[in-house]
Amino acid sequence: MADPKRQRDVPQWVHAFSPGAWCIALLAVLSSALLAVLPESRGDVDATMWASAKPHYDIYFPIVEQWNDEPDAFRVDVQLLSRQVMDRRMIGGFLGGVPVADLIESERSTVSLAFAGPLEAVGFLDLTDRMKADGLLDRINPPSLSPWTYEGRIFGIPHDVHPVLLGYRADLIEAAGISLEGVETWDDLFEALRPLQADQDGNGVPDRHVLSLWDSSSDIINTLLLQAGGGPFLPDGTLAIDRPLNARLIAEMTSWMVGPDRVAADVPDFSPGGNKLKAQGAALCFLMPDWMCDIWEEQIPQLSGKMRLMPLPAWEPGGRRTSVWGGSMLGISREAENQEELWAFAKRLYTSDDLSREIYREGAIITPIVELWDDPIFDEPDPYFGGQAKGRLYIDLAREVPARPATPYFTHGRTALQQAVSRLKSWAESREVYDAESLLPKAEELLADAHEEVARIMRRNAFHRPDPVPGS
Amino acid sequence: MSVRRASVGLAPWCFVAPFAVLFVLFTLIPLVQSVPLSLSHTFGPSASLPVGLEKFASALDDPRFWVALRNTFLFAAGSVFIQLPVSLALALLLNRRRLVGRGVFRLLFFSPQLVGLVFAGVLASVIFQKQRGLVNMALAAFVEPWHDLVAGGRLEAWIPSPTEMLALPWLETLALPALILTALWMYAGFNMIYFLAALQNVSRDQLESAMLDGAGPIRRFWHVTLPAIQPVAVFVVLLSIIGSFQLFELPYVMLPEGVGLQDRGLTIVTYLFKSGFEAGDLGYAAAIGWMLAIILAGFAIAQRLVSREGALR
Repeated sequence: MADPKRQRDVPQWVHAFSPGAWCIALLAVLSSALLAVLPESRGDVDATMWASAKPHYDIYFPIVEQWNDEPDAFRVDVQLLSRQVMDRRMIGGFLGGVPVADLIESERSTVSLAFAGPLEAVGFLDLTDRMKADGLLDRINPPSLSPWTYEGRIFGIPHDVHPVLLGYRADLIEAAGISLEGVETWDDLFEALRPLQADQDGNGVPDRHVLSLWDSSSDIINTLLLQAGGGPFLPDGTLAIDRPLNARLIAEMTSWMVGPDRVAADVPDFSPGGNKLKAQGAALCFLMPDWMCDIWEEQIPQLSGKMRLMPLPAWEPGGRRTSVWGGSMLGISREAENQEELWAFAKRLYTSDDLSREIYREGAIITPIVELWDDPIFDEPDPYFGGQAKGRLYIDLAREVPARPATPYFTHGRTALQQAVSRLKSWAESREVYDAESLLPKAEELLADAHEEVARIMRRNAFHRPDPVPGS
Repeated sequence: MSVRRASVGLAPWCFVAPFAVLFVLFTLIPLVQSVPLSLSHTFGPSASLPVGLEKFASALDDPRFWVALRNTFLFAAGSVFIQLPVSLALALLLNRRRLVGRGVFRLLFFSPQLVGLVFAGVLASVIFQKQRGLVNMALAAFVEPWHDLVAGGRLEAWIPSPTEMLALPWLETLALPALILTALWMYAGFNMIYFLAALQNVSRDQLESAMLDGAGPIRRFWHVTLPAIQPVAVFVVLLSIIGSFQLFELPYVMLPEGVGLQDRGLTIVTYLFKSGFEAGDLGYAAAIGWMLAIILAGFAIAQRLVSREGALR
């Protein structure tokens, strides 16, 4: 029991709170003071790098370890973040001014948002002069630089090229005695393979179609548009959703997806249901960027040896036989310290032949560094594709991938076009209009609406007006 | 003034302080800051251009804003006119004295609340999938015998085939019904608890008197039970409307691009989020936020008026 005399010696205000409350308050004050006084610790590393793709991270890790082990190395810590987390943290950093990693490997749709402000406020360091000075510009496949080049300035080193080929079910097609050798255009392909569209369950509706394409897949729609020189933007970034070429292309594409003779099927990518449909042969042909090969090999192993690759059929005879799907870059934060060291690291990481081989071996991804394309690894046969040298097939078309402008409105343009296709498909089904020619007027109308929708978003951006109001 | 009295005077402030500090830091200050934000176009902390009321005018002229608003109203209507009657029906069921296993039913109906919205959204996105989703498979199995029965006849066109049922695009073009059904599963049990609490306070004397006067179950419900639970019902309606207008997690997790095809599942908060964090236009997002706040304030005022009128009566 406490001594009453000793209790009287303690100042009265001490009893305002219980001993427990005092302990908590004391700990709070001490820990806050400690955090304020201690310098920010970054462990034994000099810089951090964010990567959001696990295969990339796995490939980088040993290479970065090797770099870090060199004497007097500028040590870099590669951190793996989930895609959404990294996107949010990066955009939060750029919009809210909170710190981000020194190096960020990011995908196109996220990077494009960094260009939504004035040029001097882009969150990435302008690498144009460094790339010129170090001769890197001449070593990189030119179209692969386009998504990271904004108003003539380059803000990232490209990670990839991502050319697109046509993957097809050789087992089903060859078993039917059909050869795709003479196929040059999409019309040729549909004509050759239409006999294989089959009603397997006997309900009168074909459940095998020629091509995997649906109105819900904005990626495939945009890949096909880019192949033909269409798409939401012109190479200089001008909005051009409503151009006649796009209308013709989406009318044609929609005609593939509707009616009793449709040739396209809904076989989603990246889902177990979609993989099952692929294995069952719900579609015979698929648009396959280089990175997709690795996903197929891992997720649909039962198709090993049954798939083949060929150049995409062109929209017109003599037209482009490839397209582009996806893309990442490595950028340096504009606020980062030690920018020269970071540049040296980034250059070494992205241009090393070790990395080039690894990203091909582990992810089937073609490097954008042209001089490395002679590496024999790209000529190795791949059993999944019946012994084809898939790397060489992709490299043969890598120079022809369409250029894509860097624009902050990239996602809006892509989505608006896809929504237009979806509306056109619904309209075609409700009116039972199935041929491209008849769909064309409605396609033009819907594209005009989509164009206006994105134009409205662009007009809201006060920084990109010809006469911005003086800033505060 | 003695120290004891001073400490007693200090105590309420200490109790309020944790809430007050968090409220000021994370609600009040951002709320105040969102006013100038909605009147400017910004990019990062250093780039800002004043644009006056342009963002508000732009929202009113933006068809996507109206699509989002329409979808949100439809979802709110679904909540009020489908979810709440279901909740009330469940509460009436569980309020019966002779019901066996009442606790088990309560747990069953309330349990979706325990898993959280994101989990429910992920689950729903699997259940509503085309081809292999549970809902479409069940519908296909249901229509199959009927379709076989009428095959070749005049009624065939009226009964969808199992293949058509398997291909129902819930998450794409039927996004709004999918959201309403998921929310029904999620919140019917939650709202049931409010109704159940209200029902247990309905005067048994009045119910028995009505019964002695010859009132049947429907008249007893209409003239005794419903007026007695009206304050709670009005409160639950308001909560449901506010919750509906804040709908974000479910579509964000469930639908392609968070909106479904052709913006069929675009809600006002999803549009706010997309404008702010995917288009980088924080000013526009703040303007949408204020317009949403004005709409919700309108509902709150209407609720107070209805409650006051009920109390006066």
